[in-house]
Amino acid sequence: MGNRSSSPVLRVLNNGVRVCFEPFEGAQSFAMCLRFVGGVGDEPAEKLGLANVTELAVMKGTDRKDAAGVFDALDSLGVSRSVNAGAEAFTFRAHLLPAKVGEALLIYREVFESAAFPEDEVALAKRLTLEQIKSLEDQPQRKIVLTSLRAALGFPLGRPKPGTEASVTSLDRDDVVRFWDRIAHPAALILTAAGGMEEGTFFEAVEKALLGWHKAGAVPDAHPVRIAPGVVHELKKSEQAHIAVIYPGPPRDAGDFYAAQVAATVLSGSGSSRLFTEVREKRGLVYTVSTAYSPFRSGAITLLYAGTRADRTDETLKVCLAEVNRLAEDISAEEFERAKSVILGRLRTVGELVAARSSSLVDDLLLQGTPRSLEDILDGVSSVTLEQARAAARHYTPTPRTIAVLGPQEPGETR
Amino acid sequence: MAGNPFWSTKLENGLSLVFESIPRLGSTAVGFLVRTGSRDEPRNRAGMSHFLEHMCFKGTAGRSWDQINREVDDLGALWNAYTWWEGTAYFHWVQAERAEDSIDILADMMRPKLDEADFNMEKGVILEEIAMYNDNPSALIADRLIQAAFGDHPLGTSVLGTAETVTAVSHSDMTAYFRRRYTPNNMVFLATGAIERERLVETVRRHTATWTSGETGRSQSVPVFHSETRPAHRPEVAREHLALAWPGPEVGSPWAPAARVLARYLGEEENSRLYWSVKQKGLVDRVSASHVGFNDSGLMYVYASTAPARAGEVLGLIREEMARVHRRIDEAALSRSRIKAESALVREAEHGLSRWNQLAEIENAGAARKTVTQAMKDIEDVTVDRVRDFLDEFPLDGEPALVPLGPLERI
Repeated sequence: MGNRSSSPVLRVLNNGVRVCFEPFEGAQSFAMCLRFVGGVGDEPAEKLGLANVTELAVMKGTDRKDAAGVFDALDSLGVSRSVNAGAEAFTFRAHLLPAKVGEALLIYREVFESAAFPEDEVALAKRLTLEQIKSLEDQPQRKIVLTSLRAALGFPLGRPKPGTEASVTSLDRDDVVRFWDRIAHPAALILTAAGGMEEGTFFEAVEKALLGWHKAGAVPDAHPVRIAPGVVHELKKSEQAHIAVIYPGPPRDAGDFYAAQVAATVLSGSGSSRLFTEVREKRGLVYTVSTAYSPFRSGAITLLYAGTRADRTDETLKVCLAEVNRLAEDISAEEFERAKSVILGRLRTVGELVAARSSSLVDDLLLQGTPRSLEDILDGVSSVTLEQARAAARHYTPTPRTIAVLGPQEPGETR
Repeated sequence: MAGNPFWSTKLENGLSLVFESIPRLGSTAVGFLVRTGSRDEPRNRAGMSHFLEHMCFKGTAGRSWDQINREVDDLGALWNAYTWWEGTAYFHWVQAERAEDSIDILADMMRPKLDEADFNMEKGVILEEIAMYNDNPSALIADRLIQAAFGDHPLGTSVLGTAETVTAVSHSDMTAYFRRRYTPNNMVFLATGAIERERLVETVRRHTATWTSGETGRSQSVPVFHSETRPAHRPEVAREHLALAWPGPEVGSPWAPAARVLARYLGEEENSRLYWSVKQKGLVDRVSASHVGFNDSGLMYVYASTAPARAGEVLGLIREEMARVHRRIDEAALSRSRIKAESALVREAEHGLSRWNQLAEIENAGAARKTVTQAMKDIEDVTVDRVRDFLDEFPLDGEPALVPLGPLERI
């Protein structure tokens, strides 16, 4: 590879922050993920939407800066950024130039330690969350994901992130402050980075920004992943029926994870994969059919999505389920080799991007505690044998499963 | 040669080749740009270029559709294609050592079999894609706005088309369109990333040797902007989606860098003028501004999604913000927009596929290629005075083209 990265270096600061850095020789850009363990699934039971409101309000002022002050400071450094509350983690992503990393880290530290959550900003975050809830009606592909996760995983892991109108309306500033106070502390923080910088220079900047931060706190326990079997239908006057099927996926720290990943790629994820071939290419039933792998700290799920005109819901679902079930029956040697090529090819292209590496590392640390280098992942995939892939396909049966349909008509018989 | 990453040539059959080498990468993005899009279609066959893009995946004289899919996956290529108003692009992103195999497949795809049974099957897929967009108003509205802004001019033809226009496309329509548009003199082969020039040129030459030039006949009349309001009344949609546009510069215009920086200043997701004046009031779930460049025209584009009852208020605030920039530009905020634009350039320069897409847009418009250093310099030059001059040329305080899409009968 041209843009060579070195192996990731992991250090734990004396206040408990886990820091992992992968230098990219010659790279001009730099990517960081700052992730607190704790997310939507850790909201108090009746406080639906709290993590979403916190996500919208957390950057809107500290004890030293107002909202514009925080934004201006990051913009002056050219930081392209996002904040996202997930089911189990609260993640800040930043993409910037290496020379600005030290200053950017100081601003994030200030936000983490002293986010002010002004009353008016919390009120605004609630209003924006209510707007987002209404806006979901015009984004059926997002809505079906929330609907199916809720039906499959229930609470806490399947809690709908935007919450409900009633619950969001009832939230107050104290809820937000307490939630942030519980989540944001050094022992719950994972910082990963990849980019063009000397290792020593990076850790010096990290220590300067984060070493002085002392605050006790516990890391929330992992929630079990349990899929509730069933079929749900949500009525919507749409042109397409939006179909989601959720079934178990391989845990990230499982010994046969790579084997299961190869098997899953035989099913979906490329032009020659079985779902794309059978549902779209041979039958023309859909424009989009795909699966997404979602790992959690104590398990994982696969979410299959298909969008089809409403009168073809049952046929589409039938073909999708037949392919999902058939994976355990046989994987040919040719399909197996091809699936490996697909995974390795993506790792060798997207893997050159600093943002992809920093995201991959932050998932590694959350889900399995240790970082994997790109070489580790390439080796892991390369060494899978056909027998292992077949065994993994048999081992991770697509049951129990939840089927969810958003559209004008109920699905018929689903087996 | 050092300092200039670009290299180009033209083959005997009229096909242009353009390379941009990015030395630190181990991957290569390769593919073909065809200078044809919805702008080149009859209005009653809107969506034909996009339909043809799908058909290029459905098999050739030498390869069936499933063979193409299998071979590409064997390479581990990340591949796709897309169609816009003025072009169609097909790409593979692969490890450098697989680039020649990618070229073999891509060049073959540019000579599709256009089988009638496949054509009928794929029509169903396109109708699904249209249905998907119809369920996603925010994705649909840009196409509608451009139709309003350019009216009867060919640039106002929908990229996706409608169920009616796509259904009306016959197999013979498509075959004739393909023969006229997919000639080597109307195409460009592009490669970015890790490039072994001689090998790539030879490979392209070998796989396109039988291609012959032809008369492509593109309508090149410059589009005229209309300040038209064209409501799309959709009672089943929950929000009122608002798209507005004012005239802007074309892709290769010296004004384009100012348009891009100004769009950030006005409508970046956070900390922009529209963010503070509209989103910070809790009136929208999304508001954004961008510059949309065409080969010989352009638009300054604003999008917002709001509660139907507030659509009038939101529209008023957007118009007010556009007028305000004529009176006052915050120098510090503009400087931050420049810094962010420069930072983004550095990121994109390390992303082989991202550069390929940018190069496709530039080559399609026949605009000057810019190195990252040159592009940085262009952005640095976007001072307050330059923005004022830009606004003299492309005012934002006039009547926009407007599409309100949603449950409101009138706004």
